[in-house]
Amino acid sequence: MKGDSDEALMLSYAKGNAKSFEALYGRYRQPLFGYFLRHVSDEATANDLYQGCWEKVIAARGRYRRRSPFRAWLFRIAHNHLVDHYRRGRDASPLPPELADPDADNPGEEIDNQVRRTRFLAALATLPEEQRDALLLRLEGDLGLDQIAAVTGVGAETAKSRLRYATKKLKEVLGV
Amino acid sequence: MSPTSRKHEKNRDPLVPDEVRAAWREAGAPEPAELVDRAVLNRARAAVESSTPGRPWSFGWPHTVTTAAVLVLGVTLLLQLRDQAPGVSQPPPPAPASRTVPADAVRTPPARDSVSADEPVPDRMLRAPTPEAEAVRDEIDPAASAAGISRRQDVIEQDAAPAAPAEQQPAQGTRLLEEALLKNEIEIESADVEHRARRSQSEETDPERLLAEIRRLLDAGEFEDAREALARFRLAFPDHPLPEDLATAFDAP
Repeated sequence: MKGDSDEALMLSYAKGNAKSFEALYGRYRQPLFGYFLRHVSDEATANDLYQGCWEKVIAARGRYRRRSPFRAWLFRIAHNHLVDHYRRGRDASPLPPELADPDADNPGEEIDNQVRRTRFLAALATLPEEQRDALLLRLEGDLGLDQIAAVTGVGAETAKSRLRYATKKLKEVLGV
Repeated sequence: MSPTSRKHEKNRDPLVPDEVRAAWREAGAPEPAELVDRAVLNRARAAVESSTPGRPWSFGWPHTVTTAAVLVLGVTLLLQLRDQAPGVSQPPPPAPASRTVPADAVRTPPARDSVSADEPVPDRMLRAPTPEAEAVRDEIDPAASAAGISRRQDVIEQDAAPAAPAEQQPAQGTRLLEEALLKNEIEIESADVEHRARRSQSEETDPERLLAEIRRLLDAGEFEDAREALARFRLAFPDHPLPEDLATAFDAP
């Protein structure tokens, strides 16, 4: 089971093997949660989204086909789930105070790791949704450009320019 | 170029600069709540336990055999009770003459002679059918009436069991039969509902059909129904992108 591909595990789960799901879950637990948390910046909402996404995976298990890589399939479901979330309440989640003003507590201080981390997350949270999504699909989902394009329903060039804008802004914030 | 820098070059992500990737790594790897982990895994287990291999077995031949057994029991009871059921029709009372016939003169072998003499006959079988039931049977099979007279005569000689329990029995039997049939009907009905639900679920195999339905609802101004259909679509096809026209329609205030 350890050496099985994601696709084999998913197909095995679809046939009724719950152990296969556990193995698959272990592999994607962290990146999928990271994808949601970095999007909404709120742990409770991220947990809700994360759980809802897996429930959709479970419900759609019978429709999974080997021809699509599991990773791309999973993140496509996650992306759609997130879009629905944004659509439901345009308010999204307000930025936590530490992200809204990352330098408030340390004015003039040297940027240490913690501040750097906070700044990065704040900058990530203020990116336009599409750019943040493209970047997180790359960083958390480890998807290629074509897969990002397919998941988000745009052309490869659009996906590429979204990534470029996102990384440019982050580099500016980080001062690199 | 040194091997190290070549390796570094090879590992470089052309899409995300190293600095951004490093900052992302520093931000840590968040994990979901333990309760959520458990909830998801339980859900995953329950989903396969309640559907795949167990289900066809539990709804397979045992279900069929149970249904058949209940039906056979029901029909048997019905046939037995038909002879005893009061008020099936209102036949004339039995002719008094039959009571005066000497027992020896009419004692012909009973119709159920195929039963061995050694075989104990249930008391219920020996009990006299009601006159109404006799009349119904005579209508169906006049040839059996002679045997019927004989049996009735036996009962007269025995000064048979009191009438009340004999009358109660069919009523009780009928109730049991009704209950059995009702139970069977409910089982069949619930199996049918489940079957229909499964069929309707399997019918939702074409995302375009559901999308067309959503468009139709939107065009008709039935936004609530359209939202419900969208929810169904998302449930059935979580990995299917929503076409732009629909995404715009739902995003619009």
